[in-house]
Amino acid sequence: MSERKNFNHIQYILPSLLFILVIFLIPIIYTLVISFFSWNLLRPDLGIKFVGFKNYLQALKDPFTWETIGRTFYFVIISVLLELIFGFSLALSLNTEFKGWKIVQSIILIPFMIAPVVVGFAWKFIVNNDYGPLPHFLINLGLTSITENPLLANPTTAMFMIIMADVWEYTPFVTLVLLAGLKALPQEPYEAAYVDGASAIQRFFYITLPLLRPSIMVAVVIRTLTSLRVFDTIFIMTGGGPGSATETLSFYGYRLAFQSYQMGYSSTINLISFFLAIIFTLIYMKLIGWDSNE
Amino acid sequence: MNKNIIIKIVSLIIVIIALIWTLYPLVWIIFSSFKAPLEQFTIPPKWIPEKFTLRNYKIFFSNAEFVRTFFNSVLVTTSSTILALIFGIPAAYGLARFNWKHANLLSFIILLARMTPPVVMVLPFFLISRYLNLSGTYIPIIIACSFFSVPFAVWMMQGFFSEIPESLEEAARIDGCTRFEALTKIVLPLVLPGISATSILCALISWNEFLFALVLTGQETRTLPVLVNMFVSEKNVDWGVMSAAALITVIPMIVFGLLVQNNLVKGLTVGSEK
Amino acid sequence: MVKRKVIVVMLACLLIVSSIFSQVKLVSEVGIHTEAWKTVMNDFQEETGIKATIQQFPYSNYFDQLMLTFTSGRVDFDVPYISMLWYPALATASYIYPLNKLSGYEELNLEDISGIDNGWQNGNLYYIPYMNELGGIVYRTDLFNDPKEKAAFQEQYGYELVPPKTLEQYRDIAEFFYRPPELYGVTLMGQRSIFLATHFLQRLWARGGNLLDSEMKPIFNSKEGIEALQEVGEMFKYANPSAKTYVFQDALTEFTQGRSAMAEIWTTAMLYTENPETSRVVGKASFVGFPRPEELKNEKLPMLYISWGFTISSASKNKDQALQWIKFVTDTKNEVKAAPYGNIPARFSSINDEELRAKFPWLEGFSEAMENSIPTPMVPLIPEGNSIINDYIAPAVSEYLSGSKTAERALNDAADGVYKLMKEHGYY
Repeated sequence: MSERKNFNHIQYILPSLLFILVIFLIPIIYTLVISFFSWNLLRPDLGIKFVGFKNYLQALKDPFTWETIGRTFYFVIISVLLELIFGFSLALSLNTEFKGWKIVQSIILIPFMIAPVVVGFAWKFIVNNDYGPLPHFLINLGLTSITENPLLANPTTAMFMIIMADVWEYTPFVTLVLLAGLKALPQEPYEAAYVDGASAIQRFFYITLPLLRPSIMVAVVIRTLTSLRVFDTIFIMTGGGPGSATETLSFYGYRLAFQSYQMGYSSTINLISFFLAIIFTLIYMKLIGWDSNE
Repeated sequence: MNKNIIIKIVSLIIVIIALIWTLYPLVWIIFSSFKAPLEQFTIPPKWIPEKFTLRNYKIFFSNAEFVRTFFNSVLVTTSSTILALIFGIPAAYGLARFNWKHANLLSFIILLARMTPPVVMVLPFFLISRYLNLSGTYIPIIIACSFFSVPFAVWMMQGFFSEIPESLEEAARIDGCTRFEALTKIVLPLVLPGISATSILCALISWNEFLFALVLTGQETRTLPVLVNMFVSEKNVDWGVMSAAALITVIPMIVFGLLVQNNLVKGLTVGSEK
Repeated sequence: MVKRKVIVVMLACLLIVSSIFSQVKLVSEVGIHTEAWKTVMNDFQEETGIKATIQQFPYSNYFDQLMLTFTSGRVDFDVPYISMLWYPALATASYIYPLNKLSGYEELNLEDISGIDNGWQNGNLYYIPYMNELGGIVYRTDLFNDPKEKAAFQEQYGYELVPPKTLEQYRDIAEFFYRPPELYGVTLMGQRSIFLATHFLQRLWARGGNLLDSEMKPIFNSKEGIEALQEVGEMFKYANPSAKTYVFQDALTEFTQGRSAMAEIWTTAMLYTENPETSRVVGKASFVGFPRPEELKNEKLPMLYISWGFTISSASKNKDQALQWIKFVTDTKNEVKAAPYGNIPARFSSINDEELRAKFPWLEGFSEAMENSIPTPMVPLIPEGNSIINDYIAPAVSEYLSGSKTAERALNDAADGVYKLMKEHGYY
């Protein structure tokens, strides 16, 4: 019986597995091989030379690689944190009884459906220093110190604008995940706490937060993984600038391949991104318990 | 009682701020798409156009090439979503129903495929499709999109399948159904809402894919996200047509997404209930 | 079996049929000068029987597409229409073919094409300019001709208000029209980009300086270089503070919306300025070449030169048809015909054509500047050229503007960097 089960299993899974493996492994192996070569598309006369671990050593030694990794993490941490804070307050608000929340929920979900390219374009447009509405709004609020330099030209604010675009797009996702978690919370602990005379704040910290932990985890990890891949909004909004203030690992890999045409080195940087993806995927599996024997 | 009112007021304020925040860029783009080029540059910016014009939409729809990108997007999205379902549903079912010692490895590969940054894959994809003489066809972009949506479909459908009690199928099999028949006749109808949510999200992935589309598509196979970027040339940006193109790009997905929003959340949070 | 044979026969027929109708495949970006020459593609087919087809890519990834396609070895186009800055890399890699090796290339009447010298490399001709423009100044004719302004200017500076011929006049005029926030004296492109580098290059050249010497060693940190850089900083005083983030599009918008009296941009700006759909200053602007210092007023010096043009892919099997297309499209008659759709033609005979002059009166200033300068690309035409400008010059100018380095220090650092780069690449 168990043999039969195994046979069936493979039958169901194999096509999909093969599809993923073929399409996944060939490019990864290709990238891996290239990462050991020096290959500049602009200088085909120099040929494709085997250089061993030179690209890797260069990547590890170059402070720019570490700055880029740092920037990537800065982007991920700040945007996920903001999404969590905004998403949580919104989910708690939407969890109260009120007519019309259903429609509100639908509207709030909209940014999640929008292509990141369009999100980038929309934000680039509204923060345009001359004819975008946001800088003028800030000036009217008296926040002239922020808009003294155009938002996308100042390294600090440029990164923040990219984060804002990301927060705009993905807060709905976090909100919905947390809201679903809140709706599924059992009522008994609250009733017991009410009898014990716990305040609203106590109830939140001692009951809601611990019980909601799985939902929070899922939201955080999925967002971390997807924001590590951020590319489209940066491509549209800043192209990595000013200077390299908004250049994340994905974008750096792209720039090396498609603007400097250093294929070997770009492959090395891309494999570092890939390696980070592996680590985070493992962490994710641990968190949702897929690594247990169930 | 007093406290309840305060909580309600605070909630209301938060929700209103969230609505404004959500709609702010959207409304700006919608108004801009109806502005004539000169009106895009007024200082200070005006939200409502003085004269509503359909110029930007006319430019979009009178250009056969632009209209074609819309159909390209539809074609690429539909094909890759169908591929994702064909490959994904059986695999999800397999993973949900059988205990296999390598299941973890499998989940790992599927998840990793979903989490890998696209930039890692795009160059090999381009060169391989050139070597295979596939450039200029839809095949590379469809395959690339399904590369993202197949793992996603597996991951999401697995959650829906595991919610269907196995006893249902067993009952059917006692009545003489094969496992496959039990799957198609009993289980699939039950997970239909899940399938619709999965297809919408897979479609969303393909429809919105940018980097692969940028590198792998040419004149005939270009999709909408790349087109949005086409109104930026070296020396000039046409904000109006770009706004119109942006709206045309996002509206179908917003409509579909809202249709399945309840199941969407469920699918996205697979695993959190564990 | 039978079916398969039928298919083979059909395929063979298809091949034969397609080879009867000879064709040439063009590839380009999406931009106004491409739109211009697209208008004569049908005429080409009627006249020669060769079918011309075109593939276009967004500007932002057009060069990537070309490079990757060439690298893959499966090239599906005959004639890439490219920026002049790109051809040295493609030629070094022998992805594009020397036109002078094709019979009949002499019929192109090369002396008539301005800037053609830049198309030659190592004794081979790779590139035929189609769109030509210079870096200079677009200015508001209505302001410059206003008698009140003229009188006020005369009183303040002691000479007549005319389009600037010298750097000194240029600065005076920018100061004169600096009336924020309604009107700024000049518009510049201050974002850390290749555009910003051009402001420095123009002033370096105008003073007789140069980027590299004959041994390819950096010499831009000379006295002329330092003065040039300081002057860039000086000019930003008369511009909108936002100009520090501008690239071409933004500077152009500022000018076409009537918010600055002059803009230090390129000739193409005139095409946009004359478009009533996007411009508020239609018929109120013109163009002059970049000014010089008083003492070098009459020297023939380098001036910023931007060009797009045609090349032929080495992998092309239709090189003769490709050359025929280039001959056709760069023919004076066809250049003049296409120009109103968005091009500034490369041939002297075209820009001096009476009909075209009537449509584009500002071509006079352009033609004059073209004849009295050495058109020089903004990037040295060597494979390292882009890197020198983008990775060293633009950051140096940006660092000086932001105040993080002095002019001398910024240029010395950049020169050190360029020296190292060139040494690594085996120039010395």
